[in-house]
Amino acid sequence: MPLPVPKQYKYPTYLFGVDGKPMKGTISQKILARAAGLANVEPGDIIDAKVDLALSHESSRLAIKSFYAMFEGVKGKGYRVLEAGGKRGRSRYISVLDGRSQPPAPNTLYPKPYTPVPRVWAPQRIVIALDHRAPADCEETAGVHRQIREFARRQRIRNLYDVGEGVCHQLLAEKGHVRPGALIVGADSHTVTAGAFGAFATGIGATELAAVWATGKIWLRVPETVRIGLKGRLQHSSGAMDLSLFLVGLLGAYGAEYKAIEYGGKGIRGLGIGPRMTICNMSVEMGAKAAIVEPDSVTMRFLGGTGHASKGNIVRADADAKYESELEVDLERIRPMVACPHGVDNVKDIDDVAGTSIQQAVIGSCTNGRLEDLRAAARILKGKKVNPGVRLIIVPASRAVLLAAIKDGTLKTLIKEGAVIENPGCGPCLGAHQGILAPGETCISTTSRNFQGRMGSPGASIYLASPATVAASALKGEIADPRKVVEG
Amino acid sequence: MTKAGVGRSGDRAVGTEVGTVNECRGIRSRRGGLGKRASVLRGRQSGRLIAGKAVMLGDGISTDAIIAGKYCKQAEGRLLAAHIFEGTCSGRKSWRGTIIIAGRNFGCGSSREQAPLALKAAGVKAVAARSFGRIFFRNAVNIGLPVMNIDSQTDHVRDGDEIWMDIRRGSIRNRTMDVILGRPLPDILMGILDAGGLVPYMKAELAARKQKTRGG
Repeated sequence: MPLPVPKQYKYPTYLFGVDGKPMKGTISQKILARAAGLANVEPGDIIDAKVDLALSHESSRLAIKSFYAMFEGVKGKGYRVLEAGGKRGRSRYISVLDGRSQPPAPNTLYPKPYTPVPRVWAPQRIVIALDHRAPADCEETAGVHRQIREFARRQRIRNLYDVGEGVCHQLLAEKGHVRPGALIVGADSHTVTAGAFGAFATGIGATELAAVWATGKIWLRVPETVRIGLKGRLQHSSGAMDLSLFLVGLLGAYGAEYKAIEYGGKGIRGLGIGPRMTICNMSVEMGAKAAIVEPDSVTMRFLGGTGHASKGNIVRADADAKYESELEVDLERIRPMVACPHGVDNVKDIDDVAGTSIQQAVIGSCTNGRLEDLRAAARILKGKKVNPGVRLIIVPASRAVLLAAIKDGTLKTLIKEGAVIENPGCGPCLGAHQGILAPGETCISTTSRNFQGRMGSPGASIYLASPATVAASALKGEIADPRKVVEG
Repeated sequence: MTKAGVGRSGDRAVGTEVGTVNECRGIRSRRGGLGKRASVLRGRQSGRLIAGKAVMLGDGISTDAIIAGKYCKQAEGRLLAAHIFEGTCSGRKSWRGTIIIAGRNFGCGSSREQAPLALKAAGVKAVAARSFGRIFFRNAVNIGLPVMNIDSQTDHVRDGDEIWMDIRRGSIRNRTMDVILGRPLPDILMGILDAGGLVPYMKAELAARKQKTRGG
């Protein structure tokens, strides 16, 4: 499938500090030092960093409001002109306040050549995807989407991925926006997913994003780094989600608060890009500011495969880098895990919760909506039927994932065995649409959060598990161990 | 709580209510440097001693609990305010004039800025917690809702107690002068709070930048 090619941009080389001396430190220290133009940064420093990429979704709406509000009353030279002359040679009046075009006042003899409108700092470095409520779930959202499209058009933001393209984090990877060593901020907490490519990616709020749009800069506190070394190989029945849940259970919901997590060791090299994205994605549930996997041949192969081959700037941690703490996990010992209501760190072994009756099962989202996840589910479901008491909802993470799943027959299996396929996007994860829970209902999901009220009614319960466990549970109508389902 | 009531509280400059204006001026001048940008905006602020009624909450309050995803298509605080802690928090009716004291990881989860916006509009004057979800923490400051990390025990403060929070020094005291110790915010955050949020802060910044361009 020919993919639209985003405008290429270059990241500066920064394997050396500004003074030409090699930098010491962890990956995040090095990336942040480069972004701040400093030779060296230490944990706790507050830096003013240049942003390489700014990501957002429907949150852009608040950001747009804040963006124009920041420039309100600030006149003149400070920014360039957005639109000089419309199609018919007439200029358009654009209210600085809300960005909407206004017709010339009736008593104007001739329109002014232009009305200055604030511009974003670098349109090619901004990515917007409509995924959270896509297609629009109500009139209001439709208006939000329209406003965002209009903003992107006016600001010449080409990287607008409209309804049905997929989840922003997946698109960032697939469409070649991610580069190793980049500083990425996004108005979504799961922006950390991009750390799977060796970037320092962190979530921010909408108003903060507006400030980044305006200046291209952000203040950041340099985080301490926790290193999690992985060894061995995951067992066939366990997935990256089981590992993530194990870690969240081990460290707790604030085990890595304000910190960066660096994943290393031979274990991570054996994992593909998909599982790495899952692990980085779930790191935010431990409170992490960023999660980083050192880039290797797997990363480069994936980036090359996106058609936007660029080596980026591979940043490696120094041997003498200072970590706040180090932890080693043996992948062989990871068993299917389940996070129980109402906290992601309320993690239990599958045996402790097996048998809990469920009404809905969800496979998808930025956490586990990639091809390997759908395949894992299809492997379990093949030749069996989804329990009639269960709604199995599949949400592919992107259009490319959906197409690939059609091509290899995964989707056919899933549909045949009783799954509901939704358009690529966030699906019911955040409780906005496409699978809301009623009070008293129980759902098992591969998504990232199970907070009370997350997926609809506060009276509903959400369990989190790997795609294989969710598929097995959908078959049984109750939480089930995928290993037993395959055997039986 | 009536809709109109929510609206009014949302319109007020929240978080700058003080015991006496003079007292706060005193604190400000003693502490001295507010930073260049903040001094530009001095007219807007009236110190950082915040008075309110304590609301004690536990650990791990997520942004989903604060405001559910289904309401986040709204971006206006006063529309969101009626839905805070819906179905998840003790059925409290009015949040006006309260200061939330919470445990670890307050505002974890989603990056939705609607969470602090809704709290502010509902009349919550400030949030103190053992620790915060980092995005919530930034968001709160960015929209002008004072936040403070606390380090000491909070047992002696009970729900409904009248308390005073000194954001500049990082402490909370109650009527009997029992103190909860906290950490003052870094200068940059204090500057943003003093300006009334990131939007006015950036406005001053952008205007200053423009002047610089003109001058140079």
